[in-house]
Amino acid sequence: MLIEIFLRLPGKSLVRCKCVSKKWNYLITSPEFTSLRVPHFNPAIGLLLHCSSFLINPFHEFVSFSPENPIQSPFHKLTFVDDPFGIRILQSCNGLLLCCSFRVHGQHNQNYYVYNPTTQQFTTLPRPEGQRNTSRAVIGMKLAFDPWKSQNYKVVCIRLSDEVFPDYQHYQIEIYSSDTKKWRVLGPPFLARYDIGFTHTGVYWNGAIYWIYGDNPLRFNVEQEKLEKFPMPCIGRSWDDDQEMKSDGTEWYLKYQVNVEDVINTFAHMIRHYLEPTDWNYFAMVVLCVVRGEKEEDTFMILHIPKMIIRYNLRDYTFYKLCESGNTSIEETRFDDEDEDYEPPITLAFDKFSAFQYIETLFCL
Amino acid sequence: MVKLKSNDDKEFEVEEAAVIQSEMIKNMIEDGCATSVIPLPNIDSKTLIKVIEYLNKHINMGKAAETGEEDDLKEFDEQFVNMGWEELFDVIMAANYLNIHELMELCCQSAADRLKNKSVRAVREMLKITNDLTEEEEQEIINDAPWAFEGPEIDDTVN
Repeated sequence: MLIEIFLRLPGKSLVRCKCVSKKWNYLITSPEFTSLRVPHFNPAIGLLLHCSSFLINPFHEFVSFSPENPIQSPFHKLTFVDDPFGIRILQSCNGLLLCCSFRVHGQHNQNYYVYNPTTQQFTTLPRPEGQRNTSRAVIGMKLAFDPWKSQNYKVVCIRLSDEVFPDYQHYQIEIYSSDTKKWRVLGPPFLARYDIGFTHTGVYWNGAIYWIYGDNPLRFNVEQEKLEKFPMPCIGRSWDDDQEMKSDGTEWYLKYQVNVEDVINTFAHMIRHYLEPTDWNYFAMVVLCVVRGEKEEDTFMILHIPKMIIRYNLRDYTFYKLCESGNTSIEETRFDDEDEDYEPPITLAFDKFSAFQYIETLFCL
Repeated sequence: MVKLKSNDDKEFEVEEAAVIQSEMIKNMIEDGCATSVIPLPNIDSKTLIKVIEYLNKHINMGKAAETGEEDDLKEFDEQFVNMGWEELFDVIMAANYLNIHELMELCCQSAADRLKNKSVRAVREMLKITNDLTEEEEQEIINDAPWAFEGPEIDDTVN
């Protein structure tokens, strides 16, 4: 019976409960309980939004996905290590965050970290060395962590090699594995277009890292260590569609259709009246992330419109405001002799590159 | 109607539609073993009354969704788990024995919600548990995960 209750406790409270008595400690640390506790599905419970300005080191706003049962912000500023340049998040992957030094002059001073915000443990990654003649600057770093597949994580580093071709460039892959704690150069350099988007895009899903940018999307299968092309979705007629890839990674299908009209009717301040209605940017709105629910019908999107974060349920098209946000980080320019009709531009504080899902995990670094 | 008998020999009549929310009794009825009184040696009458109250209220779950009584049911559930720890544990044991999934879920979640964010001291006091860990053992657990023992949300009150 106690086990049934322990299974429903959040991680931090559970760890604390080990201290209650011998019996409790025994129950919670037993392998039987641990195997029950690793949830077969571990949903994101909040979103970390990166904020920064020219003057201060980055901080994060936290948005809890459930207003009825809000969760404490895991952190405001990343201070787990004293990095003089500040730390920013690059990627969130099944509960672990890949972070790096924020403002660095020169690649060589940049540190990369893997951080578990639940347990507040971190690892500083060694610097990838590369091969003297072939690789140079670090172009992209991606974390691949899947607790259902392996108790180790890998980090994939893309470096730029020296040879330059028109439109194309030579890249080199290196892999760090948490069990060996070492970097390893993988195969010969490969050619890819310069606009492949290794730096900012890249999603880890189902054992592979996907870069969807430009016309030549690539994926890197982390287990087989193979780089391959994959088909792009034919992006539909409007931004009302949301497509998903089949789990074998071969085909796209239309998964959700979204109707944003109701959102626009409710929050009229997202309309940029000063633009033509046909303008792609006429509505000030971005999708920050899509969050998978355990059941299909629990899946929802997080939208950002001016000054607000909205939760939009994909199954029944209902939506509500999660919080007001993005007020502080907008630096509004004010002129004293402002014309009375002057309408300040409607701006958004975040985009999908500044949103990171928060997932609780007790994984030890 | 199905007759249930508690361990202090009190009999209760429950509608079949209500009682089959218990997987255990449903199986008994299907197997034809519920012709007379069903004895429940693990459940006292006080707990059984609570369980039957729950079963009767939840009998029309499907209908409730149609007629907009869902909020009603939610309110009932909230009121229902508003009981002392001892009573709550008794109901959880009964729900487990009778295999009533929804009731089990409701009560365990309520227990977890009460323990959530509580300090170690508060948990011990609430559940009247004596600490039998030595100081070293306790310190070792804390040293393994110091992050779990600090934070503004930790609540030392007992209620």
